[in-house]
Amino acid sequence: MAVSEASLSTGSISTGSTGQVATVTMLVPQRIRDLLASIEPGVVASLEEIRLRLGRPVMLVTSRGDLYLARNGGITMDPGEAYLFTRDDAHKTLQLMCSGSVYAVEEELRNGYITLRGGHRVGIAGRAVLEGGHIKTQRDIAGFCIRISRQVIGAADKVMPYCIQPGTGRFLHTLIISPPRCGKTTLLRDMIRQLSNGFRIPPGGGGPGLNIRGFKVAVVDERSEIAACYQGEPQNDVGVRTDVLDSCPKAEGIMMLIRAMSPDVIATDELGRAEDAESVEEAINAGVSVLATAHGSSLDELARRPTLNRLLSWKAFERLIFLGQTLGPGTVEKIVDGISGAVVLNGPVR
Amino acid sequence: MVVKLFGAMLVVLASWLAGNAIAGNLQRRVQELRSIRRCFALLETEISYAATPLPEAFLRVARGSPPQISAIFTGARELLVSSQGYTAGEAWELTLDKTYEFTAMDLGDREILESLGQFLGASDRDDQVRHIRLVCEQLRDREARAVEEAEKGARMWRFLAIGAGLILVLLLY
Repeated sequence: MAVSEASLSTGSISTGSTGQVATVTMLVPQRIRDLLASIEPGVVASLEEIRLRLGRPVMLVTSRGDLYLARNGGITMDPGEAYLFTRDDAHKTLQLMCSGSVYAVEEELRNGYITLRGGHRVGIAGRAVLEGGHIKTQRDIAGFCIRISRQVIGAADKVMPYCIQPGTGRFLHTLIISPPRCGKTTLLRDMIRQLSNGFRIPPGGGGPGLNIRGFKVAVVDERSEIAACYQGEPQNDVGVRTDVLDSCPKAEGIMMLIRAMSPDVIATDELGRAEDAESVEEAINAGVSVLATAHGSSLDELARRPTLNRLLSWKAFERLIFLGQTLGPGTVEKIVDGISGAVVLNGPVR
Repeated sequence: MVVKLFGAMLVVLASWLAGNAIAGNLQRRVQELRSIRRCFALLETEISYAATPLPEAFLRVARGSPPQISAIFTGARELLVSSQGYTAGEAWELTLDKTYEFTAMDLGDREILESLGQFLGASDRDDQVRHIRLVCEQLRDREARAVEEAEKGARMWRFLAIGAGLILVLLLY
């Protein structure tokens, strides 16, 4: 697959941002929908989250900071002028998010989020209903966090060349390490897409360009964040050779996919539970390349967590990609060879 | 004379038809109540076993029902999927407003159907099932009474109508 120069240098947002936001506004009550329609396109384009909290101002989280939705339309910085989210609004919002069928999303309420058409995720907080000490569902939903999904096609262009073994063309076991909101999932998603579709390593550094054929990629999408399946269909572009196991616990999912889908690469996010390490080792031993992410900002920090410590001391990952905020979200701080410890890319690059 | 006789026959025929129409309406109400109760039983199954979202469930439920009943469910579905910001309850009540006049149900029946609106889709499965069952029970009572009314009423209305027609003929001639 040819990659154009433009997308190599900047990374382009795949869908028109305003279009993406429009699918979100279908999910809020008419009154708020009208108010949202009154804000400038520039603000809409920078929208990251819409926070709805019972009795409090409707808040727009943008890349430039928090803004309030004004009662009379437009945006404001003054909470006193802001539109307050009413009980009726909360009731309607929940209904609109589930096509009027709250009973159909009990499972999602238990997990605390709903994935919507368009790949957006809505975090939900209300009063937990317990059964036998476990959360059965939630009622009296009072807080919604609508996260606007923006897949960035080309986000992985800079890192792809470092994750392929020269000569064999094998994809190296890779771990993306990043603090929250630094573009971990965005990078993972685009790496999956490129691995799946095949990609081209541009000539440079003395080497000629190289075409990499597509890999069979299997994704365990435990929190429906990578592919964002809506009724089984990925809402994000995860490539043509990608199979998605949606909302499945990672460890079990990895084992299932190795046995069932004969993948070249297994991808998943947020390694951390004890059983995760074992299944990753299993995948590596089965000759499947592993691509995963972990919360953290340094190796020392990771080493304090038993699961990751086990994987790191076993030298399971051949490439460690560190993300940060130095040049804004999605900055690659450095890429380290997990076996030798040598730095293969000294950033920051974005 | 022939014209008079013909006119008299026409009057009696018209009144007989009117009586029949009223009797038929009573009978139709029984059938509609029965059919909507069947719909609710299906809806209950869709919700409790499959957790089917309402738009899909309404469509399945509407299948095989007489048009004036299926119109309630398909109409509510249309509003729900229209992304115009209607909740399930609003969609249900609005559609009921529009479709009620085409049914043979009376205001009491309508009130029961309308009462479901405030609960529809808005709670967990167990709660939905409870409300639907309650409505079904109320409809069953009304259906039983409707059957009686239809039997007694049909005879009465036909008799009354023919009687009225005959009296009219006597008065006219």
